[in-house]
Amino acid sequence: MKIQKITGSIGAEITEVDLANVSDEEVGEIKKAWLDHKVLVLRDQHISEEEHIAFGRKFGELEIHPFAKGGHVGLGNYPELLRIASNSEREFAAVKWHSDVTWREEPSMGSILRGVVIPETGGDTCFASAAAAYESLPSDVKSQIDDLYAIHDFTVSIGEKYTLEERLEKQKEYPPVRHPVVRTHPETGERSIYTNGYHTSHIEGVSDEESDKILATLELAMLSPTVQFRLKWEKDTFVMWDNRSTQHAVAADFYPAERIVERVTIIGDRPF
Amino acid sequence: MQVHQLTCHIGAEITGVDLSNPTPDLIEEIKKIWLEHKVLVLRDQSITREEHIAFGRYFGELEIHPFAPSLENYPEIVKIKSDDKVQYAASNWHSDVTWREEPSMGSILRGRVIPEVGGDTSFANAAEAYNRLPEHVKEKVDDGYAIHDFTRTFGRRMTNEEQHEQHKKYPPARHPVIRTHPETGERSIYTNKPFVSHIEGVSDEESRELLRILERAILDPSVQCRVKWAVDTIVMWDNRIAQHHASNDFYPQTRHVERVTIVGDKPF
Repeated sequence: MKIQKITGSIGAEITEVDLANVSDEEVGEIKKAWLDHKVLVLRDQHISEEEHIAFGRKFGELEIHPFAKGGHVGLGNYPELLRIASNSEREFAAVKWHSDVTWREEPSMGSILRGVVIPETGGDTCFASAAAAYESLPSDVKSQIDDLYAIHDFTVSIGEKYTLEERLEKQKEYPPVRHPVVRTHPETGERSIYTNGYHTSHIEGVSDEESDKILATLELAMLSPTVQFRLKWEKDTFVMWDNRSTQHAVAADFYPAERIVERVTIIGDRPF
Repeated sequence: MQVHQLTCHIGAEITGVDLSNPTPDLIEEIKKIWLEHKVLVLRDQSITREEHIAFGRYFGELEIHPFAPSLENYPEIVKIKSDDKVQYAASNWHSDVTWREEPSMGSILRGRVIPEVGGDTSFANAAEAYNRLPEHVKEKVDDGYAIHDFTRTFGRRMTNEEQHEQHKKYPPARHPVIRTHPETGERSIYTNKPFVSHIEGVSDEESRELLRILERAILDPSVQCRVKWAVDTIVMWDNRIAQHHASNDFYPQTRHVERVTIVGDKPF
């Protein structure tokens, strides 16, 4: 197995490994590389849906997305596989930089995404190291935010996909949650920004104005190419990222081309 | 010659071309593809410095940068170097020398010493960024002018007297917030953080807010591409419609690139 870093801050491409026949030892190496580089890219992995799911299970329990809708559907026989599709009739909805399902009490640890149908050009995914973004902050900002908490709420991001009745129903099950603005990675101890412009509604205990200001500063830190890399997909490219220390955004530049990707999501623990 | 688009809105990699001795037909073709894709990437061009300069001259007169260090014996080549002693990367989104009355048309940058990992350059299509602005923002910025001033960036290395002297030669320049490309007619965002001090004729607060919105439009991955360098990679970009940013993620490694800059005309 070979590991080649992609940028100075984030990402590595792994070659000479076959995800269909991965040994325990290789899983250990992948896990280590994943923690080191936060996002791993594996090309030309011609594996089945079952093998995709089985590979995900090696890292933890898998999530069944509670209310995927629109271009997002669970695949019939494989509820753990979330299919994200767009085409000429359903334009890809540009989504701001985010980490997955931060509106859950225990948000996702990581996601493993496979390219199924990929446009010849466009639809790249950009990833940012939320740890490098945190490091880049001036020390007075760090000390201002270090002990703050933010409220995450699915209604501010994906809420508009639902009718009011549906939303109220979902809200009972998934009320707004409170997570630290700067979370500590449970395995590496790294501190990283854990607010995003998509699911985060506000910062607790400060004025609305102050909350907007802080969230904008943190988002801006994430938007620097210095903490990012940009991934070009191909069919059967697999990307696994750590939702605890990274954020991602997809380039909405490929309409009307078709793009289909499939994700398994590993359940995480409560951020601290 | 093969052309391979990097993303849907910006960038193309060109293969099957040798820049050491281009024919007039080849230059015409490159010019056309350049206007279309805004950023061209050409790999493995082991040309001499004279050939680099000569290639630039096919597109226009070359600039001699008043502040940035040039290469010994080659005043047209700006030397951009970072190593373990002097850390430098243009890690802010900008277009080159917008503080000049007639800022650069384009730049042609060549990789000389490139770290194994890091120091990528990202490019943004400022016309697509403009297209994606909400209508009410477009209305606000369409007829505005912004003031560009070199002291915001290069002034830090100068004494007050030096700044004063240079200001006589390079007074703050006034350019439209949204400029029109003189060859393609495309409209694009022409403000940036390192050189723009403010938007004229509005309050400081509104100026800051508008500049922030325009900056955010450039920061959208949907309008960007990202180039990984190698030795003898040459990238040529159109400063009239593209902005760029160098990742500052490779310290203490050495990164040395050389730029030839084509003089442009007054933005309108």
